[in-house]
Order: sequence, then structure tokens, then C-alpha cells
Amino acid sequence: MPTSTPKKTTLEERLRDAATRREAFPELVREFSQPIYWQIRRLVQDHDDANDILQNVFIKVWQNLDLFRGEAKLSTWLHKIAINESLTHLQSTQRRATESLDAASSPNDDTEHHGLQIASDPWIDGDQAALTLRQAIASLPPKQQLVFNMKYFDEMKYEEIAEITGTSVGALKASYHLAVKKIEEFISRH
Amino acid sequence: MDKGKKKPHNEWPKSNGMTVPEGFFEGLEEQVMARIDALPAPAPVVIPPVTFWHRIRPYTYLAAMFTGIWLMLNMFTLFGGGAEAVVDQHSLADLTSSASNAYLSDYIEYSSATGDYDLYNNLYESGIDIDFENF
Repeated sequence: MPTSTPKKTTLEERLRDAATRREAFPELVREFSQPIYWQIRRLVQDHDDANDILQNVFIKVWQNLDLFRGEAKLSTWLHKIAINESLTHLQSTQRRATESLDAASSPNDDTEHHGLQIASDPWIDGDQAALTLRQAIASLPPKQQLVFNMKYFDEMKYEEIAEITGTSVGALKASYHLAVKKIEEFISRH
Repeated sequence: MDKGKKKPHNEWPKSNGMTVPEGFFEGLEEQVMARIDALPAPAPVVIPPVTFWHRIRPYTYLAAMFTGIWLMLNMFTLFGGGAEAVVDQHSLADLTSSASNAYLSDYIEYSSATGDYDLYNNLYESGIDIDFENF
């Protein structure tokens, strides 16, 4: 949209200025809460966890506004923080799950854990195909999930994803196609 | 390749099937701002007052540096002048000494004509006792 760029520049400028920061911040929350929430939710699955992480992302942004120099887009910076927070959450969850699993558990327990978590999620629309797809995505490694979600659901360009994730376009393309193949296999089995 | 055949992922739903509690996004802004307002205020940055000393300090250091250099140069000059004076003193002593030697040499040369007796006599008159046994 032609009008969005000057508005965003103005928001960035007001956020960088300590005098107007407090007034401009709710605008940032309004503008970015939905895309950032969905990015987090698709990774962590649980709404409450996604809500906590989302709020932490905004707190971190608030605390580090002085470090934001405007070289990258504000949205890119937010996505990066959200991804880091989500991956950290997933790692700590997986570590806790691994610690609680007994030695006889099978390697598929992690996938089953995600499956159970998705099946017990109260915040779903009841679409079976969407649920199966969600389970298939959840069976992928976190970074592959991330690439697939940004490409498939957010319809981002590889260049944008590369800027956010710091990965080359070639590697992202390979990762996306590998994710698609794995999801196809998962869906064909279920 | 069958062009009519759709890729499997083209048939997958574009929705992820997830929902959120009603009014979640509307209440989010308020929750986030409440948390931000509850954060402890960052410690104020205390800027020390700029005093007269702070203003003149660089110039003082500069002046001290030049004074040091000047003193050092003066010290070299002082030592250099002292050395010259010492040299002069030595030169004077040498001159005096050489004059005495010349006088004595002349005295011996000319007085020898007068003979040993006169020499001994003169020395005796000057109060110098000559031990002839150890002479």
C-alpha cells in the first residue's frame, strides 16, 4: 500500500524518540500483535504459551528500543525476537519432556506429545483437514516448521524469510521442499 | 508429466485450524501496556555538573606539558652551562699550573747559572730545609 510506508516510518521515529515512545507503543502492539501471535502459535501450538511469549516479545521490544537503529524493518526485528523466544520456549519444553520421559520411551514420543497437545487444544475450529495438517507440521523439526509456516501460511517471499532467519534463499528453498515432502508422507499415513 | 494433476500441497487448507478466545487481540494492547507501566523505571542517567575546573582542565594539562618541556630544555641548558664553567675552571688551573711550571723551569734554567750554592741559599732563606743525605 502506498500510504503504509510513511506511516511506518513515522511510527519508527516516534518509537525511537523517548518523549513519544510511550504514546506510540500501543500502536505497535495493535499493528503487529496478530502476525506475531500466529507465528508464535504455529510453533508452540498452545494458546496460553503463545500469549505469554507474545507479551514477552513486546516487553523485550520496549526494553530494547534504544538498540533499534532502523537498519532493518521494524517488522523484521519483531519477527526475529518472536522466533528466538519461541525456539527458546520449545527447547526448554523439549528438555523438560525429555527429563520426564522414562528410559523405555520410544523416539516417536515427541511427535506423539505434539499430537496429543494439538488434539487437546480447545482453541480449534474443528476442521479435520486443518488439524491433520497442523499435526503434520508439528512433526517437523522447529526450523523447518518455521520456514514452512512463513512460506505457506504467511506467503512470505524467500528473500523476506532469509532476512528474518539469517539463512540463504537456497537453503530455505531446500528446507521448504523437504518439509512439503514430509507433510505429504504424514498426511498419506493418516 | 500430467499437467492437469494438482500438487498435493495445493489441496491442503490455508487455515491452520487454530482459534483464539473472543476479544483476545482487543484486550492485548491493554495487558501489554499494563506490564510495561509496571516495569521498574530505568535508573536515571546522572550527568555530573560541568564545573570551571572541568572546562579549564584540558588547557591546564596543555600548559603543564609545555612548562615541563620548557623546564626540561632549561635543565639541559643549565647542565650545559655548568660543564662549560667547570671546563673554564680546569682551563684556568691548567693555565696557572703551566705558568708555574714555566716559571720554575725558567728559574731552574736561569738560576742554574748562579750555581747550586745560590739555589740552596735562596731555599734556605725561604725557610726550606734541605735534607742533603736523602736529596
